[in-house]
Amino acid sequence: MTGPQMSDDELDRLLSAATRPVVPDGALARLNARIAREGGADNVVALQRSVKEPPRQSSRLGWLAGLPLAASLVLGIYLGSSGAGPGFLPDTAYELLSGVNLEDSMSGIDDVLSVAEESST
Amino acid sequence: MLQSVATGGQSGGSHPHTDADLLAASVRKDQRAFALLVERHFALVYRVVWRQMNGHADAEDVAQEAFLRLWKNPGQVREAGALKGWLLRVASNLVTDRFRKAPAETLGDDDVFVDGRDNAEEALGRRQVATAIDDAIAQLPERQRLALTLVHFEQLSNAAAAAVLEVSVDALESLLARARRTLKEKLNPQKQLLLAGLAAEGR
Repeated sequence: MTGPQMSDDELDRLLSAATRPVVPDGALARLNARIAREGGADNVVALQRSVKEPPRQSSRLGWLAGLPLAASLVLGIYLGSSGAGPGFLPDTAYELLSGVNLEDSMSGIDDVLSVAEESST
Repeated sequence: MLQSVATGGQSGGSHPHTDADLLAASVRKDQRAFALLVERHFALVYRVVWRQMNGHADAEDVAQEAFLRLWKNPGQVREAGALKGWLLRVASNLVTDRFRKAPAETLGDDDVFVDGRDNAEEALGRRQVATAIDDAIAQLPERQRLALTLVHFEQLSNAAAAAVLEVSVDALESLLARARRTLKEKLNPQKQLLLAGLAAEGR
């Protein structure tokens, strides 16, 4: 037996009877004490505004250093295309190289272990 | 530091400083200025948190936490006019976080606050009615309860309450309508008894 539906006015009257909480005694003092304990500590650290570096002066030395490199490249291309390469090294160098058996020579990191074993025995 | 605020602030009234003055002083870590902000807004924040937590004893702690966050970084509030809404939003988020960690406890008889009138018989009747209303409100979904609290109990405008809840005004009105409809359904079976109790007390 619930009766007719509650009206807005009746609901407002009932809501007016709801508990009106009151701030507990000493709450403000407790909060202010917490704030005093925190003091001026700020957990937000202001980031330094980034200073834009002035643009670097482009150095002409860099271009000058590039000149011999470019000349070397051009010379290499010329010599390579003219077939003059093999005569560059002294004859003794070719003789040494012709005597080397590449399969017997060390081939890289895999040989480190064997060399280490040999040196330990 | 507050003196410098006072010279440039408004005069008259019990609090001659505007929220803007006090916030600016708080940025400079002026504890006296912040204490005035606390004095001005703590009761509102506490009442909203209390209602959101259904009278849980931790309500004071949560309300304090909202103010501590403001103290640590008052610059978060860009406009002094938004301060109240900011505090309420932070506080209600803290309540949500706390309930997420631990399920909500309902309001116990010992937790009910009485308003100081000491006629024992009258207080008993009023308290029973209040408890019934509080229980019905406590059973509302969280956001409906917050909407009802802000608009009905704290007299915030719909726009201000919507800002606290971070919803549109239409959405807020929908929350309010659902809250009221739910309350009517819950309280309707006891309507005559409750209204009679109020009438007996001359409400």
